[in-house]
Amino acid sequence: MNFFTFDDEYVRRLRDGDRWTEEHFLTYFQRLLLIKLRSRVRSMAAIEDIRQEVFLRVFRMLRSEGGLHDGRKLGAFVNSVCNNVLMEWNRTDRRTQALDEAQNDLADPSDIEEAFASGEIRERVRRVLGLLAKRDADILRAIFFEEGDKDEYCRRFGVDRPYLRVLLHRAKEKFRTEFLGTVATFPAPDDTPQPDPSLPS
Amino acid sequence: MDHIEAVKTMAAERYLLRELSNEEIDAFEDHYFDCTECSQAVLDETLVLDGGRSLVRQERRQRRSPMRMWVPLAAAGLFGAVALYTVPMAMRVPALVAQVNSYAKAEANANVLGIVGDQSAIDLEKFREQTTPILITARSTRTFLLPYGPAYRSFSQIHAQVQDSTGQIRGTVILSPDLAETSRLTLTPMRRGHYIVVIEGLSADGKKTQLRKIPFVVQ
Repeated sequence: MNFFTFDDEYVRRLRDGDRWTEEHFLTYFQRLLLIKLRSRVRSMAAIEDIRQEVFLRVFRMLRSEGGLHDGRKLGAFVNSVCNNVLMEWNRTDRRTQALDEAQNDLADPSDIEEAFASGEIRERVRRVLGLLAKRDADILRAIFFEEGDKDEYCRRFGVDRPYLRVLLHRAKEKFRTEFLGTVATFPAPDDTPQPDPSLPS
Repeated sequence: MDHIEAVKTMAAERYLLRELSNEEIDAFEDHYFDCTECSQAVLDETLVLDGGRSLVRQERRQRRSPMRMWVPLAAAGLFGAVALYTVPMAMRVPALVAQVNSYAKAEANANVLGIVGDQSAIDLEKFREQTTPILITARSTRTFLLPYGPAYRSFSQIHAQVQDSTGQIRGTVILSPDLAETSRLTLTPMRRGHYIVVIEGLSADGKKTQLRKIPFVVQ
């Protein structure tokens, strides 16, 4: 796979409003922020609020006098902005009385779980299961997909925790090399917003 | 945590399997946000895990309702599309809530956009030209900066109007140039689709001048 690195030139393009750099930036970090936030925040609505606030602050700071000195640290910069926003949000969330539920986006936990699970992804995972050794496929299904008790299934299958990590790694490699090819897909083709021809130019 | 340590300790796998301590989580997140190799690993493994869980849920649903297995995919898709529009409107139609401050005048109807006074110092003059669609997710209250330009000050009023992809006007807000300088546009849940904010200036003699168009996508 080909991996890129953030650098000063990327940050310059981002700061100057280069369209493709912005789209790449948003798509890349949207996913990472979702992964980070969903273990800490209950609702998809709150996750999206936090993400949007992170992006607003990052753009604002990049365009400010100090800005970011080392473009290679763009990712860590975004992460630290997220940590700050999250801390503020946690404080506010604890202080705020819950509003009328009808006013809010009623959080459905499966919204968060389904965020990455399109029909295409499900189908790919089904094929990966078919490519693995039966025992590995059974372990993957029982422990990771059906979320069975890890210790109990480790005993049942005669494996240990390090083996589970290796198995996940192996499943990822199969998922990646069989179906994604050898090129890092940032952004994935279906994530790129397409211009609407019906909109006035 | 550096990359060598992350790979050696299988940090991505341990992160997703919730085996890291809080300190290790912080260290790994600091690393993988910068490291595209590790972030790709986290992302791909998330796809495997989420895809697998979703697959299992789908299989359970199919086991509970065997008849569904016989519904042709096209018909199921059509059913889904129809259901989307017949679900009670209270749940789907954007109930745009006006967040009016003492300076803004908002129309008191269901298509109101809210303007929230933003107290922070934002250098909006350096804000990018809005040629790139802003991505907004559909299911929450969203805000984004209302771009301001020096030309706004020559007008007596600024109109911000949201149109959907058919050209239908979904809401209008009228505000003073002062307010336009520091405001954010607040949008409460909206249907997925492409929209555009059209910003016009109104002169003292009533003449309208289009200042900006900002496309945005609700996902």
